[in-house]
Amino acid sequence: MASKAIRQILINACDKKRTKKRGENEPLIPIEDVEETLVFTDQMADSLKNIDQLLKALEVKQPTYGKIIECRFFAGLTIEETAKVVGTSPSSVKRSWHMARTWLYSKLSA
Amino acid sequence: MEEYFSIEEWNQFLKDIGDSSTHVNVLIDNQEKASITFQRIQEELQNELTNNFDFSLPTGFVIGKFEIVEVIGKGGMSSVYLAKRIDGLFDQEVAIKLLAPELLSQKHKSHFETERQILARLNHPNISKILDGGLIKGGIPYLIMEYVNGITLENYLDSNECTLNDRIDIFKRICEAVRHAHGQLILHRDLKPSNVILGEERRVKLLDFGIGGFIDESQIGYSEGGTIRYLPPEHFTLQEYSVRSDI
Repeated sequence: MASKAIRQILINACDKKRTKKRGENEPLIPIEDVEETLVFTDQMADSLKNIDQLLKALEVKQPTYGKIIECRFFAGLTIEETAKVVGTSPSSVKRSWHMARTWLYSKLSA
Repeated sequence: MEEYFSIEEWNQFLKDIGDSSTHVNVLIDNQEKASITFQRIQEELQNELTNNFDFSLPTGFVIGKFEIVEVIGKGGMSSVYLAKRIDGLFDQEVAIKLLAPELLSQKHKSHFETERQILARLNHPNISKILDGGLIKGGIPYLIMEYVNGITLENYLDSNECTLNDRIDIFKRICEAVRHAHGQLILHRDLKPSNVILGEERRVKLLDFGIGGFIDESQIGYSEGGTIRYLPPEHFTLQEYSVRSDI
């Protein structure tokens, strides 16, 4: 599932030191090397890792909430697109997303 | 955007996720801040990703006989680089125009191809010459063009050095260049002061025939480009393009 892959790449990129520089005569980065070439600010890396950790805890109890956050936050899908992926109604996604991010925020700022 | 959910719904949520330590009021109080914060994080994430993947050929990148020196300009559809010859035969500076890699759709490739064909047909001292073209790794098309060292007409007209005679003179030369193009049955379609360079000895050069098209008797042209401010009235309705539009 694409959103899972995107989430994985972004999270892995947070931990990796930038090991690969774009080659001398290579204008494009092959997809396998994206994790090593992506560089986030420390702040962003921390935010992403914290959200990922909380998400892992949430997924255990409620995989659907986890999936919705993955789609909305990591993959940037719209409400409608997320609803298709998860298999529920857009209004259900809206409510779940709203509540889940409020919960995440509360945990992150505690 | 105010979402309203009942206390029951919030409690159900906490129950669903198995969180018995968080109080429902904390969640309700944090709703708006949560929304704003996540909006911000997502925007920043977007920015950081964009910065990471911002594409520029590095100095020293080799294309054929030339090596990239620096970026000269970046537009929506392409970037232009200054490059120098490195095969030792003689000193030469060129401008290399590269199609933006995000735009490798058939439509954009065709536009680029059209530009290449157009410029190849034009041979006039007041029109930038195309020297070569090709593809770099990844299938990204490029054009090698005559490098014109100078300022845009826009900047020149704004400066105080431009007299009325100068303006008339420049205008005449632009007209000649356009007339030559029309003679080859080519419309520029994007004539504006930033597409005209004043080079050494005040030589006028027209650039960016990128969205020009071929005049065809039966063709009904519709605008797929062109800068809004300088479009003549015909562009706003579906009408036949004619030579008059460029003037």
